[in-house]
Amino acid sequence: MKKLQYERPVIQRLNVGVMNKFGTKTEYAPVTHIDGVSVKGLIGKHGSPLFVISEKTIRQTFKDANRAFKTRYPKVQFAWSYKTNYMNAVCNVFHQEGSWGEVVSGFEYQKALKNGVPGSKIIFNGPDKTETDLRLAINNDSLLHIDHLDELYLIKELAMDMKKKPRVAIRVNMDTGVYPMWDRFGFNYENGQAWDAINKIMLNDCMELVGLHSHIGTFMLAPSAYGVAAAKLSDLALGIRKKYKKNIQYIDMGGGFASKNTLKGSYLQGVDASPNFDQFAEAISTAILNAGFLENELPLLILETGRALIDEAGYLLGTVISNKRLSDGRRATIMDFGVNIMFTSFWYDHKISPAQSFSQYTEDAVLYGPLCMNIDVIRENVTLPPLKRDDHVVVHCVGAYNMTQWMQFISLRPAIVLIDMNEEPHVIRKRETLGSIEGDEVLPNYLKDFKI
Amino acid sequence: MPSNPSAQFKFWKSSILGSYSQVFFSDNSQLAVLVLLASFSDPVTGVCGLMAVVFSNVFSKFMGFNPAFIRTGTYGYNALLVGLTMGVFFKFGWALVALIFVAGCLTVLLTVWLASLTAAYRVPFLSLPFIAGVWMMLLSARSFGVLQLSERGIYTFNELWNMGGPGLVSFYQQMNAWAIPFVATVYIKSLGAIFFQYNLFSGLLIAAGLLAFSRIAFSLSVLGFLSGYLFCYFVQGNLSELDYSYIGFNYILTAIALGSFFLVPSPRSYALAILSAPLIALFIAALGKITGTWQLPLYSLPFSLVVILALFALNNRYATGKLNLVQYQQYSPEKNLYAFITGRERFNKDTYFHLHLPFYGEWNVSQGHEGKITHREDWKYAWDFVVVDDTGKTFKLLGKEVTDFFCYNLPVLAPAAGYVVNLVDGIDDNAIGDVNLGDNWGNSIVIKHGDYVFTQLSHLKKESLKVKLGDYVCKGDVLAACGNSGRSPEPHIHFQVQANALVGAKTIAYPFAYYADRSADAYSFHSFAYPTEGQHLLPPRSTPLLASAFHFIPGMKLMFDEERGGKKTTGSWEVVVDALNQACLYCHQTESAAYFSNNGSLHYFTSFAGNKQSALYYFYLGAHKILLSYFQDMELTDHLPIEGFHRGIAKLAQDFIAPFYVYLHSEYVSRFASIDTIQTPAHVRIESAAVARAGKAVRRRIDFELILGENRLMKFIAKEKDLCIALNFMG
Repeated sequence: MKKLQYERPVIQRLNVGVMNKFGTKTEYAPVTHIDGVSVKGLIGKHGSPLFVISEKTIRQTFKDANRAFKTRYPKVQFAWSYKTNYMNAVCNVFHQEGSWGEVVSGFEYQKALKNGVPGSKIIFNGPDKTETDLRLAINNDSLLHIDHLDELYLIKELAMDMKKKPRVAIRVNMDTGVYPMWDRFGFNYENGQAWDAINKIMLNDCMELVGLHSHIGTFMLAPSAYGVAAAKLSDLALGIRKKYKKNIQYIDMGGGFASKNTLKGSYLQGVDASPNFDQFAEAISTAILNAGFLENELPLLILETGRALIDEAGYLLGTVISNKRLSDGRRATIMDFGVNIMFTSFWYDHKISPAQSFSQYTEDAVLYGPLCMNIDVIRENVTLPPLKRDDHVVVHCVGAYNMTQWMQFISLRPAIVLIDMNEEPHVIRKRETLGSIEGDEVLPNYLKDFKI
Repeated sequence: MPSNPSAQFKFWKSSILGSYSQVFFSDNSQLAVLVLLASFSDPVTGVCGLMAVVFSNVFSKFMGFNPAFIRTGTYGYNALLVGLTMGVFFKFGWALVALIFVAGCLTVLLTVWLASLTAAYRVPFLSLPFIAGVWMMLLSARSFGVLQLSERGIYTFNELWNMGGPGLVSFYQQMNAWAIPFVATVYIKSLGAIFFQYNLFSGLLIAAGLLAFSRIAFSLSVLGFLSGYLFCYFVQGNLSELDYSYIGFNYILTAIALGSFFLVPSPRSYALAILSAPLIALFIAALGKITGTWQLPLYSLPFSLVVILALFALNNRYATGKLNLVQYQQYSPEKNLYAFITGRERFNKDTYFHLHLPFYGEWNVSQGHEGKITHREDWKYAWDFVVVDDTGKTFKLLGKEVTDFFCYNLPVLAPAAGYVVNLVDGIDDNAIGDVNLGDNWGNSIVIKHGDYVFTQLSHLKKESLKVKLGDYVCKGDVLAACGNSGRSPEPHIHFQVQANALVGAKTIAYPFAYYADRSADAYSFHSFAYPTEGQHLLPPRSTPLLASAFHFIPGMKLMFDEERGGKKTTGSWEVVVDALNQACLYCHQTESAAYFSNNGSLHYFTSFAGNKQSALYYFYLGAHKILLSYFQDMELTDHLPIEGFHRGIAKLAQDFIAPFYVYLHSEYVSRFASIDTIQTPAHVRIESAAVARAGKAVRRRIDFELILGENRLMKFIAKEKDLCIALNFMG
């Protein structure tokens, strides 16, 4: 007979509060395997902490999104948002599924090119495109989404200089009834800036206006806002058709679809609060189909969804370093991963599951990271079974932004493993070493020696 | 009427040759030349025939009859026969010339009259004008003292001596000494007798001409004659009559006419040809008794009557079955047959009204025709469509709410243009698993596309209908949203075709025009087919570049540089539309035309006429059928005509047995080799191939490449062994 596991005793205060329909939230259903691969085995082989990405989930989520749009609108194209997760392996899974690339810097642009995305299928967004970046993109016939007039003038100069006709779109910001209004990007719809930019492009023969772009916000919980945005972009497109007899090739609705994560302060869990792809697709496609385009002149609908496509495919595996009691009696658990590699814990109450089975007893706790910084809090309050040193946990929904916004602050960045469709793990990024950080450092000769 | 001298010459040349070849239902000028030569084996007779042809054609022109018919020899061939008869009967002299002129004019008038009489019954006039004309001449000639009977055709040796001296006579004697069976001799002579040259010599010439013109007509001539001969033998008829009068050819002509000219050659048409022999024998025996009273020969009267009788009967059938009349006459049994085979395979279903899938994106057929659940009895020709995920599930989460179902609330589109003639709204969507038997069809729309073609879309979402009664909708318009009303346990679209406007009318089997179906990652294309249960269907949607590249506007010119074997030339094709509204690419240099059709979903060529070495012919093969919507790696296949594409002995051998078995095949396949952007491409490359096979052996293969860009055709390459043709089109 196997020896029973020791669990430290827990004293729990009896709470007689107002009942709510969700009961007491507990998260102790253990997650011992991801896509059939044992968590313990993964940590044993690749160390802790460890990011794990499920290819199966990526492809499944993509197919759901694809189906939701393609059964509602005849011409749909996804473009993978590099900033959300630019691990080459992840990008290429999306490219294999047919996504184009959407980048916001020269560095990301280079990455997309290197991954093999044809230049004409890279959408170049963002306010910071250098002259060098633009020259490269124009040479590759990429789609330039203009953010401000200075960029418009620069592209015009470059086009004349290079004797090429770049394909451009303008980014349009607008009031869609949600706060905050992202009016810092692009040209405003309501006050006429957008028309000003359109006129400047159309009356100028050195650029071709092929699309209209908007990106109304992030983690949007109201699909109706996209309906408003799509209607306003369609209105612009039809206006251009009327004024200049030109059909706009595409409408790019950007991204910002909410994932299944739970925002801090949200009453409902993300799974319940976030709209699904069908709801976003419904709002967008209905608005465009009802706008008044001729059936054979319907523009291509481009979507740059990042977060909603990748968040759920990412997991972070970690290990308990220690337990302690805080001065107010609350239990605190120190994990081996902190906000330096899990930036999104500032935004979300990430779901965290133990990776081994426990009894039914749980305890409220604060989860801290390992950093020597007060802000390093993973969860301010979470109900978990009593964890011991060396126990493992699985953090859910960390696929978006963490692997692009992480840093080697205090500790180095962990490895990333991709579990493929056949449930085989592959390392797609190695654990960092001292060399990866010091490789680019230069130490002047006179500082090499010292005596203490 | 052409005005310049060379066109004039062509016109008259064609009208003369046409008059000769028409006798064998052909427009083949080589056959005409051989027949003309054969008719000159007795030069006087030959001259008389030729004079009659010229006189009648000039007279027709003078009278202002349809120049198209003059050109094809339609007015000339009966006069030719009259002229030949008179040449055989009477001594040559100015009087005969004058009378031939009169006879020629008379025959033309008779032709016009009989043509309009027979046209009312949709039967040909054949050689009736000849019979009427020649009887008039023979009867009246007895009153004209100036005409004297000739002895030509009786003393063969004398005639041969006059023509070619002793050498020819001895050659003819040797020929006669050959061990040719009696039947064969009679057959060959009978062929000659068609042109009143009752000798082996001209008979052989005509047989050779017939064989060169058409293997099917030749074999039918033998078959028809043998059947007639055997029948006469069987009923103990007068075999010597076959041998010694102008009568045996009736069997031959009837067999060719019914077996291969007016009917598409097939085992059944051959049977009909055999069956016609006893009829001919009957007509000869019976009519001979009547006309014999006035000493009038029958000539081709039995043939004309039997063919007209048979065709009249065939025109009055309930269904054509396997004995098909030739719809578009190409004046060649082979061409008629091969065009029929290809036409049946390619365009048999083109008469259907084009219905399209009523949704966007990929849907699954959850119940097809004669489905197990509800598509039974009067409602068996219906389809149910749902959306499924990779695992075949139709819903997400638990599938307990209608909103969990993928297809719920998706747009439902008009399958084709038409009027909304019936609609039902206001019925609630059922809870999952429940059904509303009271309002069986739920919220429904019926669209009238034409008389007796209505489509019904049912189980729509309550109050989602965007159309009103009487609205005219276009293909692809959003009509409503998919729902779960009526007898529907889970959301789906019910689609059926019916013959009236009532909701829930009896269904009729009617195909969808074009759709793709996906299994795993491979797409296959279907035209005018019936989707089956479990298929994953996708509606094709035309891709801008493909649509514009194959949008040939009448009057448009395609200019190109042609490179062939290192030689560079320039050329151009013009888009021309003829009186029958058929559009073609026409090459003025080679006088070639490639007829095409574009229905918005497909571009395809229908036929080609002209020079088969021209670049246009290769383009006709290479762009034979192009789908205007892109599906990755999907192959589009089609049949190419056997005639023209196959060459050599194998083709000749095939001709003999073509009505029974076709072992030569020509296939076409096209595929999108590359595309830069699926929805808004700037560059597309299409690869295609034309393959000629005998059984499984490839006998000929041409590979093609089409490059599209800048909203047009950019480049076309054809490669066959050492031959390489490259066309660079100009913008």
